[in-house]
Amino acid sequence: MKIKIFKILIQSASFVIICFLLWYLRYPLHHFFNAALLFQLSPVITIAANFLSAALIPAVILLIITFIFGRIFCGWICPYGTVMDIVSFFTGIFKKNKETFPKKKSLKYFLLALLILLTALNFQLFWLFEPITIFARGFYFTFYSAANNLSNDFFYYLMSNNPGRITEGIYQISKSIVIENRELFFSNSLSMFIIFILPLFMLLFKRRFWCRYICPLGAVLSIIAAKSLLERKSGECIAKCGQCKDLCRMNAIKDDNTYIKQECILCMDCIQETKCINKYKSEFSFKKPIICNLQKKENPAEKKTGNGISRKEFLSWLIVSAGFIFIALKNKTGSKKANIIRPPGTSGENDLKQKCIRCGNCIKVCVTNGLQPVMLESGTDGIWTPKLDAKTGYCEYECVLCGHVCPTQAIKKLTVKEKMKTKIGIAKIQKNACISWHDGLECLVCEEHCPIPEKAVKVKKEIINGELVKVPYIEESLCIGCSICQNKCPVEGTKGIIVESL
Amino acid sequence: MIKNLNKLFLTKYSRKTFLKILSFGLMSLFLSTVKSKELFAKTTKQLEPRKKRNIQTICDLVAVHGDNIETMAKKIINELGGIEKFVKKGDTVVIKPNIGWNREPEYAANTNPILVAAVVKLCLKAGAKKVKVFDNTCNEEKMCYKNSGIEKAVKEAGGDIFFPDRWKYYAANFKTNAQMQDFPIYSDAVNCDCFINIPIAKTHGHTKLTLSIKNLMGVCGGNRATMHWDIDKKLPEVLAFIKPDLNIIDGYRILIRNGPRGGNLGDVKKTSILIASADAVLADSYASQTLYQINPENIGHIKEAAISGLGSMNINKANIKTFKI
Repeated sequence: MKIKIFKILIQSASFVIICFLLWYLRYPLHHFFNAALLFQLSPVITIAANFLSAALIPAVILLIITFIFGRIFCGWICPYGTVMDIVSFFTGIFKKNKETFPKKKSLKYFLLALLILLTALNFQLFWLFEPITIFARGFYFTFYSAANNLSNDFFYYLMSNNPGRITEGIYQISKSIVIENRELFFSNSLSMFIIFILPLFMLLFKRRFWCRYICPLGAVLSIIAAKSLLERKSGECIAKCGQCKDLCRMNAIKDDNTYIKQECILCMDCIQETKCINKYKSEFSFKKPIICNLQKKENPAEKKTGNGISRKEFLSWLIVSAGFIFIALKNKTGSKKANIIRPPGTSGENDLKQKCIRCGNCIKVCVTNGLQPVMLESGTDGIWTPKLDAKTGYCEYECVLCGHVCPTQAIKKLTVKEKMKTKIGIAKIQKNACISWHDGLECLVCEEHCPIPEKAVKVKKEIINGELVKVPYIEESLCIGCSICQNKCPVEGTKGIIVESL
Repeated sequence: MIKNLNKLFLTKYSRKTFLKILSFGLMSLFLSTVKSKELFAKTTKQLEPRKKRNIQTICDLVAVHGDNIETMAKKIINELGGIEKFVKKGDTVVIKPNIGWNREPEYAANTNPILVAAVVKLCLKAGAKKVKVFDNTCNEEKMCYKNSGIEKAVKEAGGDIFFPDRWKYYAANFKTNAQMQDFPIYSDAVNCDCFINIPIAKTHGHTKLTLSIKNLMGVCGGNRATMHWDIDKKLPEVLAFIKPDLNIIDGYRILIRNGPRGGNLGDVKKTSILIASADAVLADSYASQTLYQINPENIGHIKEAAISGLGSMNINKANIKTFKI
């Protein structure tokens, strides 16, 4: 029982730490201990990012831990798994379920193979199934933004009417530590929330449904965990009452009280003495090193009843994957009219779509709220990739945060000097919308805000409506497309200056 | 829990209990609406123009040349009559530097942090209860406050530096037909005993120069980009509303090209001068004449302000003292 409490403590602690990391992924940022490290833990992201050296080390550490302890990450650390445990605890399904054995667990391996194949075909789809990113997207774009905006609104109404000393104190503290002093907006966040919530609905059918059948990260880890050193010992049990089989949330325990090693997430459910009729306690202990274990050979009969797939399943999955591959090869290009400005440090559309894991780090960390996830504008393989939207913000000239938080280097780590010279778009004056060019009113807000030392927006005098007026024009060789001119342009509707992608 | 809810719905209620529950519900609904109306009522507060104390300085304008900003700041305020003239014991002082841009101090886009800190220290020494420092920034506020060095300097000096809160912008009671009617004003800038304006001298594409009158834009809220339309009329209205007690123009490093944002060390000129005056128009005229050799008559908002009687543009008539340290 003690180990169960210990596990719950570790699980909640890691959940809190992960939420803390995700919450404080904002300026001022710690350059090493930030949430990017968390995403690099996942070997799936390493595969997706084409085995980049930077993302490799934490993933290898996780694989080593998995080799020693088994799928301890899934049961003890994974934030999405913790969410599932919490949800199934509150729905009460946790206790009612009667599990029957066997169940096919092969789907997740199949999905993993399909995703790797698609990645090889330049259609990276890991972002849809990677559990840490699913959790992070739900956290950033639903929970964090809602909490931030609601508390901002609450304080706004409270403080503008009843500014008392206590409320003021609470407000000052929460403003300096917890919430941001601005309203956040994220487009397409509903689609992300749907992907976050769907696997939780699956919990109505089975506990940890996602982890059993779908999770590609779980599949990678279970391949390693099949040979892990820590093992469950239950050979002495003679009762075969089936209690621990029903308790197991992964449905890893067979009828004869043995278990499938790679399915076990070490949730310690089967170590509850109180539930066991014979007061027999199953144990986890380290097995001897593999070298000593060589003589012991597996029972050939056992192998036959493994998790193989039938011909029918094979064919159906072949058709499904053929469909995916068809989409991958066919439907890649987005519409060319879409004016998508990518954050600085990306090298080409295809490279970004390949490497981007859609964790939302860059979008959340953006100090001006300028980065937004796109939907279908850049093609089916570009869903939720970041773009700079001048309606909500702009690219701060001396800021390189998005490259520093990208776990897969889809946005490269730039120094401030490099970033100042990185061109992401070109501003164009809209002469029939600009108030100076069209109406002859002096404005020059774009020139004032232009961050380039030599000013990419320059001023000349022109005769408009019979009067000599100062009007802006663009020096295209200097403009880097940071979009601050479009963002700050006071003209309503169509802006007088619009940044176009390269 | 769901079972208990079922119980609640399945039991039969007598008329008495029904009425009890109904009246309880109605009462709570009534109370909550009354209370919430109190809590969430729309503000109708309007700011009145700031009441300025009548301060007579020894001379109209002081300019100090030198290398040590801190001693220059002390000297300049002493020559105007001492900080005690402006700040009385227990006063709430607002200092409005220029923290508009995300630039380091040496690029001369923001007010020199040493000067701001020196003024904060002087105010605290004179017995000010609280010294507030803020600006409505153009770039991201956290980066501006940090990279300009002002946040750190003010905190070390003991001042109170904060980001402007959304709820402290109130509609302001400008005179009728004022161009500024649609723009709210930050209430702290008005509800204070002493307002010290510390701009930095920079060029500006639109208004030619940005000096102490233009620096007051930082207390305005709303869509500040549209403020640039007809800005020459709007800035004097803000000046008449705020009426700063003291203006200290930071001319230690000035931008001579590509203002107001700068970014090139080649555009920065070290002029090593501070200009202080209780009269914002006079300070601006003197600065534009001496630092940029531009006749203040040619700068729209200074001329407008002088015409509306907010100060004198005539440098030759004014009592001006210059010092060298």
